[in-house]
Amino acid sequence: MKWSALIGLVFAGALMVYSSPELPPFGASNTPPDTHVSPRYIEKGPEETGAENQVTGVIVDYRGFDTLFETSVIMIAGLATALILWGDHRERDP
Amino acid sequence: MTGVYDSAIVRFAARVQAPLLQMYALYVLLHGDFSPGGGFQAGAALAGSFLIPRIAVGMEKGKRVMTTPRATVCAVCGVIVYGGTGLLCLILGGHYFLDYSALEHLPWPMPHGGPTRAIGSLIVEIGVAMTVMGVMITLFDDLLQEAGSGL
Repeated sequence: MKWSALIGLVFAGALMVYSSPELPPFGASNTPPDTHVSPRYIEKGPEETGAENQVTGVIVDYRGFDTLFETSVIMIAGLATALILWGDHRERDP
Repeated sequence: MTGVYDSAIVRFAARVQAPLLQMYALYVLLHGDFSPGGGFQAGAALAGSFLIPRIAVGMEKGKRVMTTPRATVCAVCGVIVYGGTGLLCLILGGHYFLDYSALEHLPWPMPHGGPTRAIGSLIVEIGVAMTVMGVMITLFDDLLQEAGSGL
């Protein structure tokens, strides 16, 4: 079982190293996110979202889905940790 | 049971700091649309304001207002508020989940265009703040429950 995990890890790492040269160079201004959505966010953000703060506009309006599941992840991670701690406590003094 | 260091100074400092921190958290939350800030930061500050009494006057007394179960319920309610806003937008005739413009169709008068979306994002930020606050308090209490005799 552990060996399969190691092989999978090495495979995933090799895939990442193999694909890394295809990433755009650091600070490149002609990548798809910069030419496609960023100008729209900057130019029309305040008017479309009603939020003067562009960061807030992007986080909760344009990318509301992302934030919804970020919040769910926080809740699930927190509750899972709490449940693990509770279980530990109950085992010790039966 | 009082804190490890039962001193009037610590208790007074906690009494002054906790409400101030709460006010500041609300300020950060409500000003998220205009200045740096938002749900995550406000939730962390709110959680801090409820954790100060636990540290200053001990776990038992400090837990009186925001008990661990209440904090956990708060965390779950935050996600429900967020998802509920998205669903409400769909029910009111929005074109997609979290389409805040649809909040115009609420039965009471609402502003049009941008401000409506700002109100929607404010409700969503409140949900985020509730979740962050609840999770932080729940984790703090659960991590300290075995060391509870010390604090």
